[in-house]
Amino acid sequence: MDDILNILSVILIFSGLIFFMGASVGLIRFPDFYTRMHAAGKGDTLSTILITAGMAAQVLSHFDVVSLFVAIKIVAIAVLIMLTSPTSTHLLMKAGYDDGIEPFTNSGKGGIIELGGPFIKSDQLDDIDSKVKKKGPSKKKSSSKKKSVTEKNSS
Amino acid sequence: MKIFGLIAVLVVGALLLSATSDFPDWRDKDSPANESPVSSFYIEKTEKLTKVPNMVTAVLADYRSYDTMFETVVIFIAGIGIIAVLRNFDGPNSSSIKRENNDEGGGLLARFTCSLILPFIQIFALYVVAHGHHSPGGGFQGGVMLGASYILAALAFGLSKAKDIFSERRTMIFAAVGIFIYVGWGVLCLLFGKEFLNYEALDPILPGDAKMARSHSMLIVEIGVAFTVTAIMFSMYSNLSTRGRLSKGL
Amino acid sequence: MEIVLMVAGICLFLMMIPIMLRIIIGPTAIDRIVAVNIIGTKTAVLLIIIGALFDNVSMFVDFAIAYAALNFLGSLAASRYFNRTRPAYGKGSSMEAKGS
Repeated sequence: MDDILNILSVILIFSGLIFFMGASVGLIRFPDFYTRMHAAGKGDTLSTILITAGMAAQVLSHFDVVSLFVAIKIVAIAVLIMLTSPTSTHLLMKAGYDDGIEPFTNSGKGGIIELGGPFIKSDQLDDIDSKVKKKGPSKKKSSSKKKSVTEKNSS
Repeated sequence: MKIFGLIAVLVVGALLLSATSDFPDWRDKDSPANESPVSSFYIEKTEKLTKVPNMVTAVLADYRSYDTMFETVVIFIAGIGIIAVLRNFDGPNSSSIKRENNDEGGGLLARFTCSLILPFIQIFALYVVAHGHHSPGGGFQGGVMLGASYILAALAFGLSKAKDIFSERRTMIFAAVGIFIYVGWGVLCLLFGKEFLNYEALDPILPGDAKMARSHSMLIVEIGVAFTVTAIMFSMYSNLSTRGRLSKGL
Repeated sequence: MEIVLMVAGICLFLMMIPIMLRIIIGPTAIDRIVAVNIIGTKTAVLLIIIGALFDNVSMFVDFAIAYAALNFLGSLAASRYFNRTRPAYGKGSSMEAKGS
């Protein structure tokens, strides 16, 4: 029984490491923000769940009451990360989209405007519209410039 | 300018890493911390005298409880200082603004996830407070977790919703009640005829013998610390994130 | 078994290095926050592995739970913050596309 759990834990831990390597390589190699989020969100969550499951099996391999409670806690960590990590990925992705980060395309253009634009809420439209008219066309290229303009407007 | 910062960070990091080789070994008997008689007293006698396996908690809440009491008071003063500096009573009152326009929170998914995980975070925080005798933890850590859970509620459901649960008046009452529990427990020891914060005096009113009285008293003192830390954490967040207006969330 | 855990911990740490590189070079602020979020999640896992190496998992697992919970708090706060700083962007073309 102990050997089975040990082997299972080794398999789970190393498969988790493989998925985390995917997330890590994807995060450094992918060209733009959205694809990086894809690698990060999926690989991170799955590898965390796999490694924590492997550690739970590892703890259970010498079985007593304390190790049972510890294993329950480790599974609780896995469940917590399974709930929170996709949520935070979604929220950060939405924040980046609303922030106006441009997706990567082969032709080099085809920015966020053609895709429908940032989700600007309807009650804020008039507010932003008047500011845009006052300011004229805002800079499109660098996101840091945009952010500084925005902060000036919002404050 | 950035490159100088990088160089400074690298140099300081290299210095700190080179200093780690001078550290005493893991479980070294002759390390400098073990030379004084005080630490060996704690290591040998703590569990016998207080029935608390985690000697960090025993030192924090029993042997050096004056220190911890004034640390709690320092946290209270920090919270009051932040309110005195930041709180802005001139702005639009939060009750005059319509609730819907106030602070919409973090969206549907954030609300749903937080409603799932918030109870577990709060239960875990209470566990950290209550289980500080046996595992790392105690009033400060558990209080921070509990305060963080209220901050999470404020981020996900909107600050106005969180303030329905934990209003400004209630935060300040909780912060004061925490210190009152701590100091009042010390005064109770005075009333039973021993020194201030000498928990052995409370043997008649607590179950168990005099040693268990010290253990139980530590729990009560930690609960007082947790009250103050929770309240001050949430008060700091709500003041800092809204520039003292407490009307529009982050 | 200890060797397996040691190798797993070292591999986890080595794979964090590209993510740290993303924190340094990341073009936007949200890239950096995503990378910090991943490192936070993996730190919770690494704490459990370190606990198993020190034969004291019951102690380290508490840290890991606290770390995982507070990590979510950080990314939620960051997303709220960047959602608020909305750009007035693209001279009304998106607004016309969406209508009011």
